[in-house]
Order: sequence, then structure tokens, then C-alpha cells
Amino acid sequence: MKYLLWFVFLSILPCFQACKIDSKETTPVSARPNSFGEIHASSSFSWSTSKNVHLVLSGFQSNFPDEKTVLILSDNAGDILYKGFHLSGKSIDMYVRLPSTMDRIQLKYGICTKWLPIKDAAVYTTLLPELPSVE
Amino acid sequence: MNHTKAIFYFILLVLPCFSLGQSTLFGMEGGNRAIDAAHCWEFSSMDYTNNSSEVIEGQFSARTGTFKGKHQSLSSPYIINPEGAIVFKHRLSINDKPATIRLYVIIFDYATKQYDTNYLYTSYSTGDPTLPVISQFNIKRTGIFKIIFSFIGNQSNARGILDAISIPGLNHSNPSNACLPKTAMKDSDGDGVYDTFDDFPNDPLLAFNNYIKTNYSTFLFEDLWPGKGDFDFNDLVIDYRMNRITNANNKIVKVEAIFVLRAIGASYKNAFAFQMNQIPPSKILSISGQNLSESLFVLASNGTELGQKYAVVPVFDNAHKAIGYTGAGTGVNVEHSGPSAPYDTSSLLILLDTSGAGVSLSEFSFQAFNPFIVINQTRGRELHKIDFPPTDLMNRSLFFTEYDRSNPNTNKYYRSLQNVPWVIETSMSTAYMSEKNDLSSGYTKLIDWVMSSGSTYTDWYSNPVAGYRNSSKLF
Repeated sequence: MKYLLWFVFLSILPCFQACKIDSKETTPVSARPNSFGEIHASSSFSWSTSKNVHLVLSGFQSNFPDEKTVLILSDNAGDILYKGFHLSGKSIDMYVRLPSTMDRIQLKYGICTKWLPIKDAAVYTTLLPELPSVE
Repeated sequence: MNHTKAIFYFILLVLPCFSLGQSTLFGMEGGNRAIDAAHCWEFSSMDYTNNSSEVIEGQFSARTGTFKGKHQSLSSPYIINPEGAIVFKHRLSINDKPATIRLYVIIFDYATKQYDTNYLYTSYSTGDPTLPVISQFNIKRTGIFKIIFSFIGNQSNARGILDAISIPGLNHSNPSNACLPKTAMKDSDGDGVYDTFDDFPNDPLLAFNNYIKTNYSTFLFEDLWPGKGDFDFNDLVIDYRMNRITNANNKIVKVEAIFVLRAIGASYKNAFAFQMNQIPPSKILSISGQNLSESLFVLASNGTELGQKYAVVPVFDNAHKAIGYTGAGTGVNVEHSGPSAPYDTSSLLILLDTSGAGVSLSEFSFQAFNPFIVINQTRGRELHKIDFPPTDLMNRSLFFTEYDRSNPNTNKYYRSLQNVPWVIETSMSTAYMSEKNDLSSGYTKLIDWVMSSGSTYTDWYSNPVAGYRNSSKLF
């Protein structure tokens, strides 16, 4: 019986070898290319230095459903990305093209002015102003 | 609740912020401060409360914070020619005697920018301050005014409550223009867009500039496609800026496109054009500013190329002629000691048909702007940006030859075996490589950007700091 247990133990021991953490020396590392000609890029890489940013801007219901206000979107430098008339009661679903490095845009709509962070190439907000809370 | 009161509440509930006849009423019953602010009621340290022990009437009242010696106010929109009784209800949330708390009604004159504080104030220092009070006073002014209801008190846990405001006179603020008075704004061309916002205030057909990208961008081409190039990406270097000018209905009326040919590092006589991917040629009324001297593109009367499903706009058909290259040396503006020439600028004006549905900005977005070169006067040999489709006149038999691994079935175009492109676009006007220098030797973080699939060094082309570029190899 004792020999049998030893036999079973020794038999299954090699199975746990796979659970060892690989030593760094044995993990293959892809060498950094030295020139453009050596590059092997990912098949999903777009090579684009800009990004499409999805904007979902929720409108708000009011007693002025036909009221149109100019929506202005601009970048960090103040350059205008988009300018157009929009009804306050209608939501806006649109895309703007921005340099990949840009992480926020500014929205102006009536009295509403706010900086919006870009997260995962998208911005979700309302056309309403953000008012400070009252203590 | 009696019948009369029910009707009154109904009016306040349905029309919380509007002008009725000659009065502007505000019952706060929308319960959303941001919406009322968007319609030009101005809140300064005031919020809404629906606490039944505080509400004066209906479901909501305006409420200050606790008092700390500063004004806390609610300002009306601009009112034109107020004449009659200003009526409102107010109280404190709790009895906090002997705190001295006052409510001022202040008139702001838009013309003089003066505040008139002499109209009325109420002190809560006597009587039971928690009981609602109906205040009323008459006003008769000519001009444009704001009515400001301002509470002020020394240290107190009480809060000011305000409700059921009625102001004689029409709401004269324009939410579209930071709530300034309507008469303060001018619409010279009558297109419905005030001059403040109108990029073309004297042209009723035009309203807004909308650039595809805010700044100039640069295209860098390798023109040996489908063969392997030398990766200096200077065979054709073009900057561009594209402005889609819209009308008051947000439809594109015309496109102003500027293309600056900066350099040629090739012997091929390449042409440059772009396809508007979603726009049929019939939507183009005319094109001006094209630089065409060869017979490469066969044009329709509107300036688009014949035989295309979507509008193709040739910009120039021979880069050598455009920049004045005679063929000596290895190109123009690519070697410091080689041939040079002033940049050549093509300014195109494309007029679009605005009848019917017109063309929206989303129909001619960055994704729909599809630039390409025609290599060495061979019409079927088009080179586009990576994964941008060819036009109908492309010789598709060139796909998947030599180093190209395009696969139209999966919408993969102009990718090499190593998934590298023949065209790179940078999101700003950038320096390009001098002749025969690998792009990555000038932009030293380019390879890191690619190997991270774009997650690091996204500023590889724009960051001028040391370590990002080797200026000796850039032009």
C-alpha cells in the first residue's frame, strides 16, 4: 500500500510542473525593430494619429421645444471642432475627429459651458449647465 | 384644495417658466434648477427644495443655503419694459431669532449696468418669520431689466424660501446667446443665426465653419505601392485643411479645401485626388481651383471624375508640374543641397446642392474624406490611406500583389504583409524626412507607438522635445 501511494504521488508530480512561474530567461521577448522596414504591426492597428470621439449629448424637455441654440465644440487650443444649431429638447449623437493626444473638449450651449473629459473615445453629457451645489 | 387654487397650481406646474401676456411667471415646479438656468433664471447659492416643511406652495420652492453673511439670490431673465405689480411669496425655513435676515428686491438696468436697491426689502426680525408672506410692489420702467431676489443674513441655520414669482413684462433673454437681451443681438443677414455666432454674418446662405480637423494635417506618401518602398515617406508630402461651411440648417453649402504640396521625393509623376465616400457626384454643383493639365482624369461638367459612384475630386494631376520640378536631382525640397521650390497651394471651392435633404456633416466626415494618389499617371494604380477603399476606377488586380496584402472581402486595403501602410497622416503639419532616411530615424518614438498599437507615444509626431526626433534627418 505504501509503495502504491508513492507510485501515485510520483506519477502526478510532473503534472504540477506546468504550474511553475516561468523564469524570465525562458520567456521569448520580441525584439524592438530598428527601422520602419522591420516593423511587424498588429493587423488591427489603424495607424491613425487621430481618433473618432463619440458624443452623446442629452437634450432637455422644457416649455420651449422649438428653441434652437448654437452648439459649439472646441479643443484645448480654443479651435472650433463643431458649430451648429440644435433644438434644446433633442439629443445629439455625433462624432468628431480629434488628435489621439487630446483628452478633453469644451462644450458651449447657451449659458452652458463645460470641459468634458474624453474616456474610451466617448463623451456623455447633457446640454444643461452644471450648477454648484448649495450647502 | 379649492377649485381656484387647483387651477393656479396647474398653471404653475405646466408653465413654470414662461411669459403669459405681459407677465413672466416662475413657480419652480419643473423642479430642475439646471433647466431653469438654461432658460435664463440665474441661481446664486440657491437650490430647490421639495421638503414639505419648507415648500411654500406646489411641489417645489427655491431655497438658499444657510446664512453666512453673503447674498444668496435668484435673478430673473431680462424683462423688457416692466410695468405693473411684482408679486412673490417668501419665508424662512425655521425661526432662528434673533438672527437678522433680509430679502432685497434689486432692479438691474441692462443699459446703465446699475443696481437699484431702493425698491424693497423685507426684514424677518419681527413676527413669525416662518409664515409665508406675499409681497407686492409696483414697477414702471422703460428698458431692459433683471429682477433680483436676494437674501442676506448673518450666521444662521435658517434658509430663505421663495416661490410663485410674477413679474410684469416679457422675458427678453435669449438662451442662445448667454441669456443676453434679445435686442442686444443682431442678425444682419436674417438667417436666424445671430452675428455673434454667425461666421458669415452678411451671407444668409452661410452660417458656420466646420473643419474636418482643427489644424492642418500632413499626408506622407510612399509611392512604390504595391512594391516595397524605402520608408522615407517623402515621395509626396501634402498638407491639407478642409472646411465644410454649413447653413443655419446644419447642411453643407460648400467645402473650402486647401492642399499644400510641400515636397516630392520621387521620379513618378503622381496625381492627387480625394473621394467623398458617401456623396454621389450629382450632389456637387461645381468645383473650382483644380490644377489639371493632363488627360488623366475625365471630368463631368461639375468637376468630378466621370465613372464614379461617389464624388471624386481631382486636385492636381501632375505633382511635378504643380511644384515646378524639372526632373533634375532626386526630387524637390527633400535634400538640403538639392532642388528646391516654393510650396504649391491648391485652393478648391466645392459647391454642394442644398436642395432636398442636402448633405450633412456626418455624410462628409473625416471617415468619408478619402484622399489618394494616382501613381505615375496610371489611372488604375491608386494609393489610399490604410483600410480606406479604392474608387471605382481602381485596377483591383493590383491588390495582393508584391508586398500588398489588401483583402477587399474584409475591407482591408493597402496593408503590407507586415501590416504597414504606404500612407501616413499626422494630425498636424509636421516635418518630413529628408531623402532616403527611414521615417523612424527622424521620429524616434514612432516604432514604440506602433509596437504598442497606438497606446503609447501618441505624440510621436508632434512632440518636439529631445528624444522624440532627430532633426538632422527631418526637412
